[in-house]
Amino acid sequence: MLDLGNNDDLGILLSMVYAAWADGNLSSSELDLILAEAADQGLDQPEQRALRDALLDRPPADAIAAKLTTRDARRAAWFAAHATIWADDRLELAELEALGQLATAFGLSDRDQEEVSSAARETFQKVRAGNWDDALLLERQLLDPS
Amino acid sequence: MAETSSLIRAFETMQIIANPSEIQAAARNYRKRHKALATDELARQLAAETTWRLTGAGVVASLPAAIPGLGTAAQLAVSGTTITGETWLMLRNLTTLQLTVAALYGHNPAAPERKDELLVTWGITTGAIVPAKEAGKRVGTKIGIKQFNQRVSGELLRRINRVLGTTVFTKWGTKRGGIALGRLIPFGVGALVGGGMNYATARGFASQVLALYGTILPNDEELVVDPSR
Repeated sequence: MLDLGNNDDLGILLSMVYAAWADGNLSSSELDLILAEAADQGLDQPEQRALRDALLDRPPADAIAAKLTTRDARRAAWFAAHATIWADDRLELAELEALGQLATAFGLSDRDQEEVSSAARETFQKVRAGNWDDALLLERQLLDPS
Repeated sequence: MAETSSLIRAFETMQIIANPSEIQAAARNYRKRHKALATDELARQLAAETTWRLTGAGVVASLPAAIPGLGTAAQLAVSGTTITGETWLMLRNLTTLQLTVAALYGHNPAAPERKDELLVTWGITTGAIVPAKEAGKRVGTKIGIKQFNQRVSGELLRRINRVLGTTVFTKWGTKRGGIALGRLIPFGVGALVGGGMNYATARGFASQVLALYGTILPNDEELVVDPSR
């Protein structure tokens, strides 16, 4: 059966919250994105509490890492953290530092970081430029893996 | 002639099934980039890579107006409900993953059997269909995978469609309908139910795709269609 509320998905959400908190406040665009993702996850009550607590008080990076059970889940979480930071179209030093803290906590290699970071950046830029199909459709990504 | 699943008809109407020639080209391109890998390894790598990329892309797709124009398409009526752009994207990309893996294993993505296999994968992912060797004491109708569409009766197909329709469209498709997100902070997060792209869904579906083309289909394994669902 599908498990729509497992720890990996909660960990991905919490990574977004961690990134959003980096500059000391949650902007409305960051919050909207997090809540849109929360709507996608079908969280159970303990998970809803964890998310609510994280929205009120930034969760530790190590605690987030502990929820992510696979390398791919950690890469997905780091991708999601990038998207959150870019949601308000501003990038601050504290946000870059937050990404670094998450990468360290997740144990991502330099290669992992480069791969995820460039995939996230390219996806975001293409979507913002209106080329959502090139950015979001799998067959287009596979045809043009730049 | 075998009955076509209403789920597959809905997928076709909503353009969830990508152009087979693009799928074939994508599979060729992927194989070319990873010449050293055997087919099983290639499929596993594609599934792993796709899982994290699609999860991240799903987050970007949640940005306002990320998918302009799809708003209208996403309002397509499906069994009395509607789907959002993010749900459409999830279904489209997971379907593309399945067809690309099929192409990597040498199957023609345009062949009608691929659509039966889509139904089988969603059936296994949602529990409506179980590989016979894992079924244990569960009582159901056994069907050979290669003869799935020819041997599944109209009544069983309708039952499978009911389960899949409920899970794939109703559960995931009606999220956020009419809910003002601004009022949910911070205590109303619990009111949010539904689902679109998430890591667990992508990972679960991908693992069933790998099992289907790597094991179930080559061994012509039997499936059990659960009549109680």
